[in-house]
Amino acid sequence: MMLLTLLATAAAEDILVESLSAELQSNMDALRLEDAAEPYFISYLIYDVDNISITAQLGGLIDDDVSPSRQLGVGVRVGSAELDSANFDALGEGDGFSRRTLVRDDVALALQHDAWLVTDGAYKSAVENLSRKEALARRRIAVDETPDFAPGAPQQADLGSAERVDAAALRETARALSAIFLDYPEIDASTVYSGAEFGRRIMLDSTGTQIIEPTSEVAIRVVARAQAPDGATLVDEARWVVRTLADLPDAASMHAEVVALAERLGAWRVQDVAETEYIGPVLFEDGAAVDLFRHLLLPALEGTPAPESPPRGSRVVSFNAKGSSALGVRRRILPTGFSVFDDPTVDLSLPSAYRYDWEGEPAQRVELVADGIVRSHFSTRTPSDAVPASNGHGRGFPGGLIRGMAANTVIDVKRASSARQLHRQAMKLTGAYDNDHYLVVRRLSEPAIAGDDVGAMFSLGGDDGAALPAPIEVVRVYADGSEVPVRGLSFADAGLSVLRDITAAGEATTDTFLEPPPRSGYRGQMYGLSVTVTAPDVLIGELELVAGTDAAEKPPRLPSPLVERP
Amino acid sequence: MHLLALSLAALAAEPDPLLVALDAELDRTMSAWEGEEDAPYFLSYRVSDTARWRLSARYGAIAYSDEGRSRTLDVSARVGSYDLDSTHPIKGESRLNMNLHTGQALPMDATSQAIQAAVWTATSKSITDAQEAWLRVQTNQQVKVADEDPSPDFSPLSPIEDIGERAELSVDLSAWEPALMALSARLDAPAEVHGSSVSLDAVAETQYVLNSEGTRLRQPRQWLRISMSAWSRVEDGQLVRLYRWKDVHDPAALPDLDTLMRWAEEVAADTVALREADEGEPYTGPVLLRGKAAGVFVHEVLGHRVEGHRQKNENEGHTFRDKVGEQLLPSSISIIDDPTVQMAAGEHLNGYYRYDQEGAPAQPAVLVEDGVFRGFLMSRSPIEGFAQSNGHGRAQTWRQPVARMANTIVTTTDPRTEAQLRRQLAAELRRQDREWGLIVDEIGGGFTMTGRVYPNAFNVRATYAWKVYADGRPDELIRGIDLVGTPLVALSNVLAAGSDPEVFNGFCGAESGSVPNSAVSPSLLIRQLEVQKKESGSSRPPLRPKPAEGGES
Repeated sequence: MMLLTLLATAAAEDILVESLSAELQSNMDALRLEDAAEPYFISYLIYDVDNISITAQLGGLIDDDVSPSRQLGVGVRVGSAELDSANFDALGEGDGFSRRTLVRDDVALALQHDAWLVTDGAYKSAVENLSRKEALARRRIAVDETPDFAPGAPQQADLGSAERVDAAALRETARALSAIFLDYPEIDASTVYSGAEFGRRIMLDSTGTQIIEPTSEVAIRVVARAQAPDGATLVDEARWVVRTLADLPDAASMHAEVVALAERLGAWRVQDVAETEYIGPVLFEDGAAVDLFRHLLLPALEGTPAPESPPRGSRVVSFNAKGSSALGVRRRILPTGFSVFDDPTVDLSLPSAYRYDWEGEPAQRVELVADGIVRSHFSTRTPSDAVPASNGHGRGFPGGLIRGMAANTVIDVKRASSARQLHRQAMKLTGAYDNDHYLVVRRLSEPAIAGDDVGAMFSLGGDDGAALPAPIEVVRVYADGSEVPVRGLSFADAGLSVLRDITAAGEATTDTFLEPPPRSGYRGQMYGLSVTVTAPDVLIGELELVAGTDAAEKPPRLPSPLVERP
Repeated sequence: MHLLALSLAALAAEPDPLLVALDAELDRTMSAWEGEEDAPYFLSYRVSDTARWRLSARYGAIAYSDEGRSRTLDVSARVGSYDLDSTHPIKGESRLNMNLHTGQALPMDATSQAIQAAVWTATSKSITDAQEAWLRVQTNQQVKVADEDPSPDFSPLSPIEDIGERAELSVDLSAWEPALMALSARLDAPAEVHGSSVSLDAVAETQYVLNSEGTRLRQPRQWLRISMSAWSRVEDGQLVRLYRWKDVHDPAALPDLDTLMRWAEEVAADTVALREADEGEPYTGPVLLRGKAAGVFVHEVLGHRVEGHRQKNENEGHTFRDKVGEQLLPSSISIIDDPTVQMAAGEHLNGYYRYDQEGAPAQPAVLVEDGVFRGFLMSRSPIEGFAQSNGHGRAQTWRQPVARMANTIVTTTDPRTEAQLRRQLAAELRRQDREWGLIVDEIGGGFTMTGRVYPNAFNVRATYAWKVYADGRPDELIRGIDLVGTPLVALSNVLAAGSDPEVFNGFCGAESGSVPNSAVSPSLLIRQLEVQKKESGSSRPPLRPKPAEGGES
């Protein structure tokens, strides 16, 4: 009986959580530099996961890596909630946040040793950063009254760990999908990237927060490239981002989608090149509609203030305004009738769903836009003038300040038009431009798969800094509904104001994709956090598209050897 | 320790799909271009098919365990002729502006046709890049002055066919885990050791070289390293770090656990001692370099400057270009670089290979004979007076081969015992009227600058050195020094060599990437060498004592 009791105790022991909680508390109690500010808040964000990364080409594997990964992100804040060391970018000098890969094994002393070193470094950099921030504040006339840190109640929950993802199944899927391109010699390069991350996300902090939440994500990107006879490079993808392998479509459906990708690219190669410019109505359909909101709307709602930084380089001091890059509340962002909300908990089967955010705050539904007017932002415990507290949208990777970003965003419209109504309205609008057709955009370029030979990925943005990737699937639609595909266009001046020019909306599409956390940029095909967006097809009253300036190279002299395949 | 199993599998009867694919695409490409304007006159494929293992432990726990495989193709296409081709440097432009080389990952376990399709993509790009470069080379030749060295751009080579075995190393990382955990706990035991790790790395690589001259090579390379490092932050902010390792070709040659445990204790104790040692100070005077340190000294001072391609690069210093036949060192000392040597001083050598990465047979290159400078390390890029490769064209994957060191070996016909060298050091100190000199035991590596604008200088990064007094007082350990100087002065100050050759196995980085190599040398006594302080850290030691069983240590 005694032995059984001991075994049960051992099984319940969570060495990772307990050892790091103890180390966090020891640091909170004793990490001190003489005559310097003490830490008033320490947080640990731990990704205790397994990673699978498999890359395949033409039926063979290029890369196959399956390994456990324990990443510890440490955040140390010194000063006070009113003015602290965080969110100040001292040009790479350290800011109180740091990261380390923990030992793989559950050995308490080793885990604590790792945390000890990284917390020590984070504290020292926080002390220095606070002094830089205070020095800058003293030069200012205006007093910044927005606190640097918002209070939060300690949270405790242990929601367990996600189930394992079968690497062998993912490997076979990648291999099978990549082999499809053996039958398409006109596709000159193709790669299947498949990856999974599963396990648990752990948030600990010095107020007593201890959240353990399962995390699971499976992503497959099938990227293909073809070159048109005029040298233009065409790149497109088929993509799935789901929570578990069981959430993937069946093998036949995925196969069909990859075949469609190959045939789509093959067809685009021989399409007409578009007119040199087009001005008039543009209908965004399906994935392009989701991408329109993804690239223009979502960044405008990320509410964590941009980091301040010290003046540099000259005696002329220009202070960076402390404010969010988000569009201010009570500003119009969409036409009347449009509303936007985000709820991370709305469907827990989505890979983008969660109960607690990356700061351990409970996820909340937030009404972001009501009747076209901005009402709130994605917010964290680093508040802004507009949103004083977290609404549970802090997301990011270990090692930096957690910033607000989307999870499951729904763009809702009061009155949706049918496809026929959208067509009629577009034709009516196009008359004013002396055109006999309007344009429908069905797919935009994907920034994460931009590689060599792809040319400019983003079109010019508007004055607000937002920008839209170039379209890759565009059709001219005529009055009788007939369609003529065209290629080689990109948007001119497609900034945030485009959203206010929406004149009608139609059926909704839902898509899940990987998005880099704010301020981190695109870092490869499989980098990012999953975000789900539901958005309606939308008709923009006026948009300008111009011919791309891709400096095309001649196609290869020799055809692919796959041409000779029996 | 029989935790690893090595077997070189006999060549399988079935054809190698990779060779089939490379052969097919090479033939298809050269046939298609035959007789065409701007056709490549030379095309080569180099493939590295590599399995890797890495196991790492720290503080008594496994930190990392991973194994993987990759297959990488490097394509080199040349347009023009052997005399003048698309790789010729363009005067007034950085070589970084030229796309001379294409690398690409190839699918593993795929059909030969799938592999061939990937090879085709890289070949097409490489030829297009070479044609563009050739146009620019021709124009540049018309508008710029003549080259200092009119040697051809590339040397022809008779075809060689040698399809050797594939590397087939099998490493059971899990079997090594208990040993590494125990070693890492031992290494981390002293409270003053702030960080440490123990690692096992292994590589089994099959290298392929095929070219349009008809060369077809396949050769295995196997390499394993057991290593341990420990560091500590001194009160003045300086980071002291020690690293000990052993590189072998065969797992059976790895040290046993008892030896490794002793290493762990020594490295930990030496790190603590180094932390307590005084910081060294700027100095010039006699220095005795122990074997490993002497090997790195020769590598940095001489080795990089006798890499053949540098002699016709007009931005390089050409320190030794016109010194063939001149006395550089005492007549008792000779230096060769010989990739064909597998072992020296009881150690496996990292720089061993049979063919270089341009498909040339490895050969010993005599650099210094009886103290007289004799020649250069040669790739297939000829220089005046040295028309042929001696098998030193080397590169890591994704890079174009250039002449590099392999196994740089220093020998002497007048070996001195350690006691003799110490007596000679003391005598030299008295002659120079100096109170103390230096003995350098361990080296963390080094670097050198060989160009014309920046000082043509070297830096050998000492990690473990002693202050030695002329009056016989006990030696004192010091920390934080580097050995610096300029090549001709440094070599002219070599006085004597020891009888104790040691091997420094490492990886050397240069324009063709990181390549494995070895420096073998006895101790060298230098009449005068300059010492500068190492960079100081700005961070204080950890504020809290490190975690320990039962509380903080």
